[in-house]
Amino acid sequence: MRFIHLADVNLGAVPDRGCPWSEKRENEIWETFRRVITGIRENPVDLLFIAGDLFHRQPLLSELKEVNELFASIPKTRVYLMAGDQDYMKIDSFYRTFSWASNVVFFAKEKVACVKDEKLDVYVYGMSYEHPVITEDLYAGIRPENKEGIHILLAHGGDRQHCPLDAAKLAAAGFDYAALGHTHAPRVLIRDRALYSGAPEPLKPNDFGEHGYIEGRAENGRIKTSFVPFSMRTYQQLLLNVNTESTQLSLEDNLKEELFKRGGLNIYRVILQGKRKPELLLIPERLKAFGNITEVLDETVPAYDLEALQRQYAGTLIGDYISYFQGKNRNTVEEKAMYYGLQALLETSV
Amino acid sequence: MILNRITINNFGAIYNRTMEFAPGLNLICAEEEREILFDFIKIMFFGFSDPYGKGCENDLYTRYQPEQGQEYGGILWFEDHGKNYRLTRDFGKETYVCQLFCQENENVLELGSDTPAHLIFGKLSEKLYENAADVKALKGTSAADFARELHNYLGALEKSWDSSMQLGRADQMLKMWRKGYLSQKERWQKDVQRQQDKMSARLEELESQLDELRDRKGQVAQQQTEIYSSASREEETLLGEQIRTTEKKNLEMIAVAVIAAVVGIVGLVGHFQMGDEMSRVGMDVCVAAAVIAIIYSFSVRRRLRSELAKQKKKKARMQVHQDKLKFSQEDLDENYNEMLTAFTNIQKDYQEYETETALPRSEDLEIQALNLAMETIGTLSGDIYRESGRKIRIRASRILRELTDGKFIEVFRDNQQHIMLDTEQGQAELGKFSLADMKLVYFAIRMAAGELLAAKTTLPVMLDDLWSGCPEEQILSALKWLKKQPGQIFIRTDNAKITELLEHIEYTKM
Repeated sequence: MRFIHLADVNLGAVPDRGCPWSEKRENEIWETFRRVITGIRENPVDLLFIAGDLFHRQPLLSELKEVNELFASIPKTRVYLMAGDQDYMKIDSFYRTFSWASNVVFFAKEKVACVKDEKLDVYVYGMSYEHPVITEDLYAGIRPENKEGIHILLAHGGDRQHCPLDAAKLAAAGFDYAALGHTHAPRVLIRDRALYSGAPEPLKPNDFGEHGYIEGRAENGRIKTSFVPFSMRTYQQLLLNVNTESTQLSLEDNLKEELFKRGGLNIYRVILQGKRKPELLLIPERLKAFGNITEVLDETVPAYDLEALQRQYAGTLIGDYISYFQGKNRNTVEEKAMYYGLQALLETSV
Repeated sequence: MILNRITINNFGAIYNRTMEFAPGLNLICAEEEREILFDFIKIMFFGFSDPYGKGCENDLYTRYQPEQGQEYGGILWFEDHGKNYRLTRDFGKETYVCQLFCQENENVLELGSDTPAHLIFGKLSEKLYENAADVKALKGTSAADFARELHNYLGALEKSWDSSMQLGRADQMLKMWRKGYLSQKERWQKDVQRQQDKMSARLEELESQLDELRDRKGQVAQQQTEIYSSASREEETLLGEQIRTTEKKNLEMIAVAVIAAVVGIVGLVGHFQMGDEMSRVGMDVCVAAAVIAIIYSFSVRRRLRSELAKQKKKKARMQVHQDKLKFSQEDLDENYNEMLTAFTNIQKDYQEYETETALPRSEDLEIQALNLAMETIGTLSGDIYRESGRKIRIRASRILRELTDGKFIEVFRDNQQHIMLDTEQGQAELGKFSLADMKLVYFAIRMAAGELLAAKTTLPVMLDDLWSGCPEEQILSALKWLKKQPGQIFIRTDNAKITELLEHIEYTKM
């Protein structure tokens, strides 16, 4: 028995709204989902689990029809689907009245139900969100039925607002596998037994790392899983080191080189770090033009020897200024303020 | 502190030279030697500071560095608190030496890369030393320029204890940086606004489509209401009754025709079987009546059939209309729900975007930091001003009274922060006085500041010619005042008048 575990596809989401690549990203989320289905069509798996948040918002009827057509195109695969907190089943949700293809099982109640796959002897347990927030652990008392076969739980949530999940309880419950959804990053709760697949496409600038789905198979009564990276792009944090020899041009060249190495399609948050020549006027905004860059954080500081300056200027305004900040457990704003003021005072003095 | 002698091995334009100094007034004639001499003495005590890191190209070390292979340093003999010291330094990068030798107790302190300043001057920093011991002439040549220069000098000193500070320019620089971040944020806000406008436009479009659908739904509902109204129902019921009545009549006519046919057949059979004429006539009448009845029933039935067809057609039309309305309503409901879902989804997207964009951005952090920097500079310079400003003016006023035999009484600031001078003739803004008077005020302020900055230490002061263009008696009173001071004074001038005036006072020429 082979299966694919997907979650948090978030069809309809518009990542990085306002950025030039935003519209492309919206289409790529659909495209990646279609690629998963195409992959299943070409190399069918027995089961496809979608552990919630297939849609980013309430699904439109037209979207459900499109998704259903895709499911219908993989008749050899049985699809198990649940609504998560993002696409929860509102009173007037199209989920409630939709007729799914014969190979699709949709868990339509906010109460865990069990569906048996007669052919494979697999029991799938699941439920759908009918509310955007569920503070109760609805999976707490759920135990697999005392029957021969593979018992798989489809669950969504894990934080306090969304069905808090207790890993120990989940382990004790005795499911062969728990296909989890909610967190956008893939995460192993219990090795080969309870995993968050994460979103197949990253959705927010802090969704760093690889994204994809989990592929599993039953071997000698045990489930073996592997993560399959599948996203079109990744979000990455790019640290650029600045030193007293750096110039705006050298920094731009470094960035271009790094982007070339890491891939121009990926989306970056650039962080400038290190000590720069005090007179160097950095224009971080200009770096955005070299690739898909959401933000450039300038954490560089002028290469001042604060202790030497404090000694040299003790008793004057500059000395007092350094002492004022040195005496504090500085936060980011204070750290920046110290360097800004110091630079202005030093550069304008005659 | 009294400097007795220095030996400069190699330092800028001075090569292997020893100079002897005397306590009191010392005269230096070579202009270029004055700055090198001051920097040499300062560096002997404080060393080369490198607070700007390796990126700084115009540092003093590079400026005064001799050619490669030459010794870089010197020896300084000085007396402090009744003890004589010898300070030897070699600034060579590989042969760095700093040795302080006390001639009285023959103690030698090897300081390595450390400086002896803290041992000699305590808390007096290099900058305070510079401000106290290096008295330069102001640049202004006209009275107005000089007044402005003096105003700037006093302002910087009162607010920072450092005359090289330009707080106004520093503030401008910080504001300029802030403006950069503000315009960056403004650009981003415009982008956000564009996105919000786009979503709002889509919401409006959906809303108008929803309104349209709502209207159409209303029309359909009204039509349905009309269909299901009592009049329509009555009409439908009436039509049903009419159909039933017509069908009943039709059946009656069929029965009449059947009975007539039976009577006709009976009459025809009787006609041939009856013997008597009367009976046969009777039978014929029956047959005729039956034929008439059949003909009548057929004609009535034809009329009833056409009537029934019309009634059924009408009923079918009514049914089709009802079905059409029903389908139309279902279709509208589906479209409406689809659009309403899209509408609420975009509304949620809008709210989410609004929340996301309300979070602080990196520009906000920079702006906050710049505001904090400006505030802190303002607060700290305010503190210095409150502490130093009054002290400087009080001490400067006393010096002025001593210099002018009480003709100049006080230097102070008015409510508008103008520098005012109180004299025997009355009070006036400093700019109203002659250039010579202003130079005298500057001298008094510098001497006062030097005393306050050096606190308990008496520093050797390097003095530029501050009196060019001043009357002789003014210069003489200043020189006499200097002579009375406990510290050592180095006057750099090539002014023959000053040299001549110094002849009246004891001094050492170098």
